[in-house]
Amino acid sequence: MNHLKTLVVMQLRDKIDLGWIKNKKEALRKVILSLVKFLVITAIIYIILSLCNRFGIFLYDESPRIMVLVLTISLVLSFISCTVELMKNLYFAEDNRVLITLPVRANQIFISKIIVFYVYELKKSFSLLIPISLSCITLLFTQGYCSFWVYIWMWIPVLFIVALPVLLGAIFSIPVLYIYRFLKKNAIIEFIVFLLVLAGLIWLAVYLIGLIPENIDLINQWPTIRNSIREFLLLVEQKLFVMNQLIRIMIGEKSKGGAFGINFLTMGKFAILIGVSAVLFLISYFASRPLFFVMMAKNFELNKSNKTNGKNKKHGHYLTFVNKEFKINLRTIDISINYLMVYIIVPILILLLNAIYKAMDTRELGNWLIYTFNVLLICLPLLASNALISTYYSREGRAGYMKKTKPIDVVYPLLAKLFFNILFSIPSVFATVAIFGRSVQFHIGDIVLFGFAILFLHIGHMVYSATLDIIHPQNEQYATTGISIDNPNENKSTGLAFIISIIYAVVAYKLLSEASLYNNDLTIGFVKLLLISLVIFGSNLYMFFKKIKAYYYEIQG
Amino acid sequence: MKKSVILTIGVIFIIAIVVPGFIGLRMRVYNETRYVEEIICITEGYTKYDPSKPDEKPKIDQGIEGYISEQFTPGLKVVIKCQLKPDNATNQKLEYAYDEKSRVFSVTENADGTATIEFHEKGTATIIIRATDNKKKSIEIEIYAMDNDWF
Repeated sequence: MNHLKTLVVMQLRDKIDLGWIKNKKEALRKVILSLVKFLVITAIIYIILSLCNRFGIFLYDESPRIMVLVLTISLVLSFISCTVELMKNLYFAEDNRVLITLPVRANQIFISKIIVFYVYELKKSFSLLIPISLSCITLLFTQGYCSFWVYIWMWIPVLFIVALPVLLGAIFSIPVLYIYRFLKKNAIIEFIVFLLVLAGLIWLAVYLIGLIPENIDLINQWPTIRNSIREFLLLVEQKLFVMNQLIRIMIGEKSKGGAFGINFLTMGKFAILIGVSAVLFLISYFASRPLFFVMMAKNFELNKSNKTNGKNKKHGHYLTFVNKEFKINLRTIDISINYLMVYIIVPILILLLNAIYKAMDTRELGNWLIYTFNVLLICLPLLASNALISTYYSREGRAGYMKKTKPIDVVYPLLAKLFFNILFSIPSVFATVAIFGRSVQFHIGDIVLFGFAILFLHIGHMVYSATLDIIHPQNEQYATTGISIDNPNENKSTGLAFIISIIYAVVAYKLLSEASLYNNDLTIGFVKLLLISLVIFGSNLYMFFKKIKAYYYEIQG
Repeated sequence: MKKSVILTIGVIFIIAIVVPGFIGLRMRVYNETRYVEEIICITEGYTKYDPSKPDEKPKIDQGIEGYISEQFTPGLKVVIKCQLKPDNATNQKLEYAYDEKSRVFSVTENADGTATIEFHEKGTATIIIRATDNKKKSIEIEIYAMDNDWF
């Protein structure tokens, strides 16, 4: 048992920063901050749910339907991410080779990996699933529809519910592993699958646009919309039987008076949940464990191929790195899919949004809101996708340190890593801006100006994300586990993406409305936006070079 | 991209539709006031009296539309939910008329338009649910809280 605990703590340290545990002051600060963050999220969700209730979207005693919907979305997304991540972590993790040499039983390594993932899923549940559940329970409690005991009881089933996607992920990681290896061996099929997924997404977007009614008048149509939402929530509760039962285990059964309470039936269902979790654990243990040992015991040195295709070509300094990054980007499906998905989805998203706006008969305030939300929804996914950039240099693991030994300016390989992201983003940004610009009938010159403004903002944030990875490298995490599931750089990059996008959208609203009011011409507003983007881009690029100088040359002395 | 980021973008997308849809639409003068035309009780277990049944016909003649039967337990609560027709009736507020001196039950009107009837002892509660904009539109229903053998 001690061995298992040590293994879990050891792997957790690789994935989550636990440095604060030993320092009492730091631990207290961390606990208080986490608690405040959790309470703020819960309070915000409670306010949103109360407003929805006031608007008549659901009645107080119907709030468990919201819980069913959220639990379904959350578990499905967790199941997908757990399956993919567990496949990598169980069968391809770099630390397997180290763990197998430790004086522990191989079974303990397998179980420790599952526990580490479970702990991480539990941590993630505090950011959405638990706050929403608590808000719904508070909504029920304040109206006398459930007792205070539900607050205490709900934590126990949550421990088992969160385990479900992890255990299912461990089981499903086996077929996914075979599919992954098959696709890796057959690049053409992999490419065809990618094209099919892409075609499916485009078809879905076109289908959704086709569903948009000719005239959207939310105020006038609200009663009908509200009834449709309520019918949908009722359907969710009726059709998603398993999820509904999971929620019933958390909040209890509905009595004839409409109140929810824990009774013998709840206990019976809870016992079934424990049983199902145990069965899933046994299946994953007996099904994936043998495969885990085979994959872990594979001699990685024999995996290397010494075959060379053709003669080596001599390239210039910069082109060598561009060539290398091009090959890495093409061969690393995670990275290339992330690029393409974001750069394809953003224009589709904006097309869908503007098709909906087109059906609205808006006044001037409505037009400004449309501009603002367009700016926000163009910036948000684009900038949030830069979180991946904040892991680029660390992903090289210990090989990343080789950059320091090369007889060239380190700026070349560092900038080359960003080259393809910048290249792919250019057509996507201009296509997105063109879709937005044409639907609101901007002049072509304004569209071009706005396109450059978004592009420089995007590249500025991209460079900032790369700088984060230079300042706080996570190479060791990637070197040991192959993945870093709680990379602080990713979190910072994502957080700033949200802040920048919101501020930029508000500034765009202010500048464009002023330009229209005082000059009757939006061009001045777009020029100012471009200048702001250039300042963000310039300052981040300057900091990027400064940090490279500091961290690659001055610190090593 | 993380799951929470995708969900947040999804939520913002919905907000981006709802906000201009509510506060950004061109003003229109809606002269028409839509009065409540029908009140439908949608509480679980609500049954309309059947005019073809001889024992239920007198109830209909008294103007009582239907009933809800529950097994009495101390503190039994029954939530009365109603749907209004048309869906976009201008004034959606309902008022509940009942015997306020009754020792059998008490009624609490909830903020979401529903009413909760709490039974203190076995008996029947007769409630009239009325539209506030059109007092002629109302339904009268009975809620029975009886012993098991009564059913």
